[in-house]
Amino acid sequence: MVRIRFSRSGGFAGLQGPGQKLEVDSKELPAEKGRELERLVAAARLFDQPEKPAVAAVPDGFQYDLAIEDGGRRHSLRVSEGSIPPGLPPLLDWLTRAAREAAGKKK
Amino acid sequence: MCRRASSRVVCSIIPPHILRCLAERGDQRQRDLAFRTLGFSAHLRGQRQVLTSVSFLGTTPTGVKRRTVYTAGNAMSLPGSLVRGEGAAATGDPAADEAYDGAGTAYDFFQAAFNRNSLDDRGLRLDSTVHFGNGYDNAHWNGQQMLYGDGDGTVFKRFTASLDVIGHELTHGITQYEAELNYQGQSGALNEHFSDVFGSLLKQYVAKQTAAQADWLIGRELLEPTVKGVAVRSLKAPGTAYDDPLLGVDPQPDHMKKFVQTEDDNGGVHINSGIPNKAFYNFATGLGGNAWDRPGRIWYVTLCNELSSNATFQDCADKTFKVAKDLYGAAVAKEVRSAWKGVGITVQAVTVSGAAATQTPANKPAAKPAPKQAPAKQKAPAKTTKKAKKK
Repeated sequence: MVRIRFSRSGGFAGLQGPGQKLEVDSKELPAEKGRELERLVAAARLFDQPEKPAVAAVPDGFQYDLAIEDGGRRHSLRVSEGSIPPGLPPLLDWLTRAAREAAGKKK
Repeated sequence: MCRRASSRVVCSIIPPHILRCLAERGDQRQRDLAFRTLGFSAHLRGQRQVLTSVSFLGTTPTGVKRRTVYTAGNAMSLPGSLVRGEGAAATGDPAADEAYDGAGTAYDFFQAAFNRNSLDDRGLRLDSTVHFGNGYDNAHWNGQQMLYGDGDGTVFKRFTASLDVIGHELTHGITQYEAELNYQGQSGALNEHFSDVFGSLLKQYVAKQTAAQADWLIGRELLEPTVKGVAVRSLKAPGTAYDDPLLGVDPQPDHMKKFVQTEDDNGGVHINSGIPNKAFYNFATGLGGNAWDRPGRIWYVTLCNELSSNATFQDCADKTFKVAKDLYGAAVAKEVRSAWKGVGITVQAVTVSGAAATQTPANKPAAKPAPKQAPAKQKAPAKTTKKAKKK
């Protein structure tokens, strides 16, 4: 079971709204969705990723900030569009959509 | 590389030094691949120079407008399939045709207003990829080309729908070849600022609107009707473009006392750009007439000749004041000073061309500039200042 704090910022629009942020705990999700998230987290190998991108961001690219807790282990990292490590894109997509959906429900 | 994945996020795992090697010494296919990947994954000055020297100069005639539009077909493979080259008929796909027409309009604008020959001023071909990603809510400049998403259809429409967005992205390319403003903190917010300014000027030029007539909005055509807002940003009134349950409230400040300290968005590059944006609006409307004329030229010359890659808002204020004085004389420079004062920035230093910076008390008349080739209060001939370029 994993807990993730996620935010996406930047992009051409530079949105800061509720649809860009999410806190999610896999054990609080429906079972299948929780397992899906855990699979994506494992595939992303988040604990092996550096805290900051090695190269400068591309103009109007998205910036993603993640804080993860997984069985007592914690890690925070930032990745920027244009230099996202392999393995992360599916997780970032999942979190982006989930953040949008969660904000849409509150609306 | 996983740019071929159908996901909305891009990445590259080949180290830049290997890509540079391929770019310089590989066969044609390897070179093409390396250029694309370098352009995508690296944004470093030296690598850009490699790209320029080995790629474009060999293939692109100078002084000719050349556009190519590709489609990624909702994947992320770049550049994708060619859908329209220079001179070809309209495709009937609005995204492809808007990208083509918009790039052409932007080329013509920079040529007519500033005598600039494309992004690098050497005729660089303008490449655009449309239908990038699946529901991709963004457009960006990846160091080598423009990328446009279709939007999610709920909040955002396709990103080619606003001409000022196309101008904004192309201006990132110009900045890359000129001031190379670091995309972080204040220099990053200036990078955004210049893109918004020239994006808006492009739209005003096409619509033949004076500063007073223009709406000064960025991305007005992007928002779906359900969104509570008028645009993505406003240079006239930063912080008022939208207030929507999903998007939140337009976070842009319009004054230094509201400057936002944040780690998000590369240190708030799309947020704090509201401050210089408002200063430009103040100046252009205070001066009157067409904003792409004297205001546009002052900002253009500042971007090309005056700013270093780590420039601050203060530097931008000081340099636009200096350029205004050099090109158009003290009265226009006074308007620049007043415009920056309106956002809480006091022009500090007056640099006389060819001389060291002279500290001048903020509100006293500035020292007289050295005689210039361009007579004051008269439109400077195109690119007189280019020759004096420091780089």
